[in-house]
Amino acid sequence: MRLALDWPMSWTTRIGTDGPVGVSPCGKVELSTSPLVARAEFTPLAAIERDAPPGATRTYLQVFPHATRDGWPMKVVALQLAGSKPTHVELRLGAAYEIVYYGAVAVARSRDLDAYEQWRSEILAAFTSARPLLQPDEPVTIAELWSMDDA
Amino acid sequence: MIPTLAGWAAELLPRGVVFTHPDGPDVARVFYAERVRPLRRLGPLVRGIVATTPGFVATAWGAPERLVTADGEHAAAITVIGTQHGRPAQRDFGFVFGDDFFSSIGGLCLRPGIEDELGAVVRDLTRRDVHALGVRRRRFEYAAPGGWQPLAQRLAVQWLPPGYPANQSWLVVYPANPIAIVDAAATPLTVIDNAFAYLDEIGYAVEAKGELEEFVVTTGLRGHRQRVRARRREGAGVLVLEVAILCDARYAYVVEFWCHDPVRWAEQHAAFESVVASIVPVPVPMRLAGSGQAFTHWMD
Repeated sequence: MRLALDWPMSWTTRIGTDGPVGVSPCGKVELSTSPLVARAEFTPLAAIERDAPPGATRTYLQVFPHATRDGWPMKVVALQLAGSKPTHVELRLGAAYEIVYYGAVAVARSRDLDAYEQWRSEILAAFTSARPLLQPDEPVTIAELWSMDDA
Repeated sequence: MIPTLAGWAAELLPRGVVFTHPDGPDVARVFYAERVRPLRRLGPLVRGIVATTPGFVATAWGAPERLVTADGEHAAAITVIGTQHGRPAQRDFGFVFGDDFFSSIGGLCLRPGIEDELGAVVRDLTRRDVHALGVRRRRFEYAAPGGWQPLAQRLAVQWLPPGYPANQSWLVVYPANPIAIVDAAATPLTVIDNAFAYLDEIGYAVEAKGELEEFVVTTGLRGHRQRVRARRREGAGVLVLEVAILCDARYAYVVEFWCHDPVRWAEQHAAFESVVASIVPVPVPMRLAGSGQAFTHWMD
């Protein structure tokens, strides 16, 4: 179970370790989504901060409530990760979703402020297009038992 | 648990048993594993076994076959043709599907000319695989509403329509309940009235109640259905709830349709109608010829 997004127009996708990753045409912004996880076991900020450089300073620039087009509640989070050198700055724009009893995040990352600003509105639009894919690996109907598909 | 294959050697394994053909392992073997988790669809199950079988290379996949065991459990069979360490080989698989586990029967045939015989053995063992799960709460078969998403809640499934949660409608398909644990004398009315009474608990007052209708679906199940319109006691909000219950001699099958937007009622009610119309009764156990064979390999 995971989130599906409408990737920004002209972006390409590649397969990452956790699923598809959208890549901006300039290659300087990447957007990924997490699996759906039981909310009791899910910490949205930790998911948005995931893989932060060791020792990076975390500065939350903005947090505001929003909703997807279908009405799923989400929080948008703008995060700056600063390393020991002034050039070591990563900007992240994340969305933390609450979907029934599941949680998930979508996170855009960039080390290039100009590219980040250029794509910020498209990333927000992608966030609002998110919808859950709730079909689990286990069959939920009897009719699926004879399916040769994975899910 | 499967019966002993007469004349075959049986060897117990940590999670099952392997039978070896009387003429030796270079002719044929049958592997059995019981109560394996997690449950998966047939395709991933077969591909998973084939991919982890040393020396076997698949070249052709048969079509999935639907079976029902003597126990009344759903089961499947499929044939995979290939090579085993370069020799022509045929594998026949049978799977019995429990609520949250499966058992697998895997035949490996290396002697040309007896493939069909071994395939028949595997299918027969699959039909005779006994789990004695009995009459219990369990999933029943129906056609999923197209384009809706399943929110699995153990054995029940809540189906969410496109556009949910802005589109505040959903279907709930409960597991089949043994008649013995519902009020057998007044099953339809009790179940439907309980559902409507729940509206009161969640703050709705019933405004209008439709007629209790009797109906029959194409699979022969007979049932009752009824609809209510309710209004939230505090604040705005209208809800239409329809409950359908079908029964056979052993089980009650219940589906609910909740719609908070009467404008969308007709469009989404069609999904409810199609789910209800597609309900298939839980398979009935049957006695197979030759039942009662010794299960001696389980007693070593």
